[in-house]
Amino acid sequence: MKLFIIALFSTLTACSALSLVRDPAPASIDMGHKRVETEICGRQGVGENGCVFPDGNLDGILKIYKGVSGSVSIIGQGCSVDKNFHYEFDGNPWIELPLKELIGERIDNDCVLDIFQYLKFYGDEESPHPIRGMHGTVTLGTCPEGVVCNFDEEQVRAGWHPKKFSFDGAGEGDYLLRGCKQQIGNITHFTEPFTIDFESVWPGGYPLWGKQGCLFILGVKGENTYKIYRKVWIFKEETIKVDQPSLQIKPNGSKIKFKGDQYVSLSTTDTNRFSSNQGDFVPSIDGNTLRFFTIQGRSLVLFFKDDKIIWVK
Amino acid sequence: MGKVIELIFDSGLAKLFLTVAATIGGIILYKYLKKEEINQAGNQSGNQNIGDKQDLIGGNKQQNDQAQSDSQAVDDFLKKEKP
Repeated sequence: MKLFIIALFSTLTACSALSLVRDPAPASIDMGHKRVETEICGRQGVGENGCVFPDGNLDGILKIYKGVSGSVSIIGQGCSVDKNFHYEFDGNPWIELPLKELIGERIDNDCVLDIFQYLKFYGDEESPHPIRGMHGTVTLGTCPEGVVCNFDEEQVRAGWHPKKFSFDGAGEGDYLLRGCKQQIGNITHFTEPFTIDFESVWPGGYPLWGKQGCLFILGVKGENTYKIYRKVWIFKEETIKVDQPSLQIKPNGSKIKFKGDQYVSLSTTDTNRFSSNQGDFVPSIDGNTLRFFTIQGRSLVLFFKDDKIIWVK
Repeated sequence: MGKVIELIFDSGLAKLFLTVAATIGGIILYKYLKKEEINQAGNQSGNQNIGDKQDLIGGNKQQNDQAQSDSQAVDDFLKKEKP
């Protein structure tokens, strides 16, 4: 009997060692927490990103972080985009999509691209746990001639949102704020900086339950004219963020070991991929980016430089 | 014949045989259940991802309508001459 139990236990242990780590947290996509990492116009964003193009003339590349291999769907009904494809990891960590090929030479109207990304994990074909995809949005705005335009975004947790909402970089002038197909307040003369109560900008009341958002567009007419985009997206309060890793930093620039959240099944550095929550990297003068993914589509992106974590998204 | 069986039992060969058979049986059963679990997880992932994508298509139309309407209204405001 002893022999039988030992044999069975060894077999079960060997088989379960191949499995991905089950993540008991709610899936990011169910919580409305956007996690697809993109880069557009040199702006890197996790979940939300965007760019404003002079007179709608498109230029540049939309980049989507690969992970390892996987599939991507991009939907943009405002600019007739409906693209689905699989990709493999080939050394370039980014999927690169020239905007002129994806959309065309120009956009006549603003366009919002929704991206659905399904990451493949090492050994996922043997996973006894379902694997969830991630969601992200890229906003493409149009900037009229002679107007100064910019795009900014923030993802906030329902119930934990900041109190104030400010638009920087616009001077004194008449302000018109729009969002969710409504005008917010009256056209008013403001002086810099323009700060407004977060809840009052929400047409129809602040969305308490998450998975909702608004693209706010501010027009400023003064000595100069400005068109400022601010996408605000609210995810559910129940969202559980991936824990930051612990780092073993040694002197003399030798390899740094990391150990991420216990539910992580894929970790990546600038040069390597690890099918677990731990690995190592050689610190670079320019800094290193570490990424962690769970099978529920939860992720953490971290930038490390000069023995310090500079930012975490 | 009876004596041969008795001999086998006495020598402990039967115990060994039963242990090996039970182990193989256990492994086969485990693999079968695991395969079922993997298939179920795969189907669940597939169905869920199709549903998630469908949700995005619905939401995308609304976001595009809103963005276009708000952007146009702001452009019109910026174009207007000051009274």
